[in-house]
Amino acid sequence: MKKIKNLTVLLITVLLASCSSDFLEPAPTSGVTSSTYYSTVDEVETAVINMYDGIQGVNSTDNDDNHGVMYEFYLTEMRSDNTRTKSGEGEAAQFDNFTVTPNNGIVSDYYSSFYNVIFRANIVLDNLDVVEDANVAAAFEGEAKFVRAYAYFNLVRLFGEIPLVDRVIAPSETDVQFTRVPTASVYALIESDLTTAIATLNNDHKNRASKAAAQALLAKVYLTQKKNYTEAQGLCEAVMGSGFSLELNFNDVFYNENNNEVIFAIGYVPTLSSDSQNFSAEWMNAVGRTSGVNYVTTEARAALDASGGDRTPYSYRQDLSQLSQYQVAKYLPNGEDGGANGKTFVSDATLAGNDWIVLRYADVLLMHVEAIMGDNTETSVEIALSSFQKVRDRAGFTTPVTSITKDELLLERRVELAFENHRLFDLIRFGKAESVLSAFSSANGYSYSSTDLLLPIPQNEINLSKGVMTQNAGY
Amino acid sequence: MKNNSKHKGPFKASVLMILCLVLVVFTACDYEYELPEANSKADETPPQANFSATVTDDFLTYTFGNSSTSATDYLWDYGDGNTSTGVDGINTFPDEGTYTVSLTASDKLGVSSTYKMVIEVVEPEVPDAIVPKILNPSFDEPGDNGKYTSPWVDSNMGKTIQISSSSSFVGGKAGKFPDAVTNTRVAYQKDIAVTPNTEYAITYNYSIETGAPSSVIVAILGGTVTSLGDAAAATLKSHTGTIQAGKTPFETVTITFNSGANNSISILITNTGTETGYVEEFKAAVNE
Repeated sequence: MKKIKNLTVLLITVLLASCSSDFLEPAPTSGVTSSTYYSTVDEVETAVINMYDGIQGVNSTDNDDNHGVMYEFYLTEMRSDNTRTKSGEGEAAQFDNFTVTPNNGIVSDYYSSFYNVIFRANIVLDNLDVVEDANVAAAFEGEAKFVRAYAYFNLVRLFGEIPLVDRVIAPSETDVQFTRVPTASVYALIESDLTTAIATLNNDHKNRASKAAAQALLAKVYLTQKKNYTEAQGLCEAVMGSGFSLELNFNDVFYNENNNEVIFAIGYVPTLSSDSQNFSAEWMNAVGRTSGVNYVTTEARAALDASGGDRTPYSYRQDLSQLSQYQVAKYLPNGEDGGANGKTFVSDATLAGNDWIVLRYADVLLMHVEAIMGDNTETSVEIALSSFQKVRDRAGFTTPVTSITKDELLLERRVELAFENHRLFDLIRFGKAESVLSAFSSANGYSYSSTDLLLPIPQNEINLSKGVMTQNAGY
Repeated sequence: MKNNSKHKGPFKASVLMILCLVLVVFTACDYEYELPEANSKADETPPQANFSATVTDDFLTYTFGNSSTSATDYLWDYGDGNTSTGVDGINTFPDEGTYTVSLTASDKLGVSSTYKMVIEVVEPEVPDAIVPKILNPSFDEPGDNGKYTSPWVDSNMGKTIQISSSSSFVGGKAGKFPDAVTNTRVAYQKDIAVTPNTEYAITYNYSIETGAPSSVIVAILGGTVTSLGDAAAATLKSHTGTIQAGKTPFETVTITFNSGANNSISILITNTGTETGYVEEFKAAVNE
């Protein structure tokens, strides 16, 4: 009897001992999930890189893919008086003539792209606890917050009041997904994110977030809200003291990648479908999927001819296949001019590698002038004149300026930064969108009204919200 | 003539009949609105008028952004006698004053909604540049603590200066900077409000006892610093005084500077060498 007891105890011990965690190891490597993946610094860094991949977008012609910043020109430059479609037809032409509808696929593409970027940034922030080195963790946090602020700044300017998602949320949290919050709350998050980014980042990268990029972006955030002009001026001066300089030749800004003028650019690599871009091809005559978009308007040509100086030949060119039309000459696919007909490329133009410049030094110099001008309509402060003159000098206008009016500054920004997705935001920020766009619209027979300054919330989102989300006025 | 008049009778009757018919037809056409009948619906999306107003560079001219919903026709009344019927509005008011701008938005069913906004048209004032106010500028006023060094003391920056009394000083007192080799003496006054990007002039008097080479350094800093090490980077302009002619006479120095991207400045006074320096009579002005 005693023997049996002992045997039983032994058996139980053996059975218990066999139930150890080793029994289920090694962990299955084929079943990676987001809850188990991020366990080392290297893995969190893949999440950091993944954010920039989201901004890049997918180079495809599939409507279901997110095309990220590749489609930004439709929503910004083509909605301004700078560019239009070549044909004036189809969904893309809705931007030309201010008839965008809530079911416009390009609008919905951009909306979901940038909320996806925000999701990717929140993933980084959600997994910082596995990074043991406090400095590395702080740098990752800064990068994620910069990217999140960049995405929100674009969305809030394009759509107005939008849902504010500042953490990884579950599909069931529909109240967060579909509740539109006041723009002031969105700007509060943008400012706090950029302040963190400035404190934790350095200036090592141009294709990733940097301190200077965060400073320049925060300056623009302040200017957009027409507040903190002195802080904005200080931020611009901090960037101006960080070793950036203007390229001597204007053309080199776009074809000498990551040059000393670039502060932040979205990197692309040619020939790889996973890392290339297609907007360069779309801007040519039937080289990409469209027959040609982002074609230069008569108004933009007139402005560049009169005030562009040395910049004009590098800003737009005649379409050699259709002589009555004019194309953007910045961002030609892989730097090729397309031969005699302007559309024969040696490399695959639809897999172009031109980086997309988000922030460059000339923009900061002109923001410096804008910050000093503040609410006034002109300035003759010496340091403002000096910043303005640097931009003018490169364009060949070396006669010293003695004062700068708001209109002169707006014009200088137009010809310096033409076709770089600044024009629409500049018009709105300078309070000139109403007068300029209504005149442009009536001259061309378009149907501009003030509600066109905000895009519609994509109908798909409204439908999914089951009545929670409201549409912008005028749609 | 008779024949003609005979024919008049039947003609008259036919005209009357036509007239009657026309009348009947007309009265059947009831132009009044009827109650909804079966299958007709009430106006479920009545117009809702709304707009925003933005002043342009010309303070008299406003643009009005129409954000009404479910409306097709608009009537703007700018409150100064001007009206318009476009979607968006623009108006130049005749003069400064208070105007009530109203927008009536209506749809094709005749339902309308009105939104009113009061606009205060005021010429914006260009604010004058702030004249910096330096407290206790000549070390003659005792602070709340009874000390004449107030508010020039900042223990994070260095050892407190002394106060010297003499009938040769304006107001009887001056800041005294003894032997800098033994102790680092610092006078620091912060939070002096200025207008950004404005030219200023700050004037003061100093003197140094004769003897070994010594100096009195006054630096104008942008914003506020919390340690002596940060001062160099924040310095807008500084002056190093090296004239050693005894306690008197005083040397007058004017530092002109541009406030740059700063809403406030601070003044930092230090000295070098073994001989005692004296500082008094700070004055600040906008340098036109």
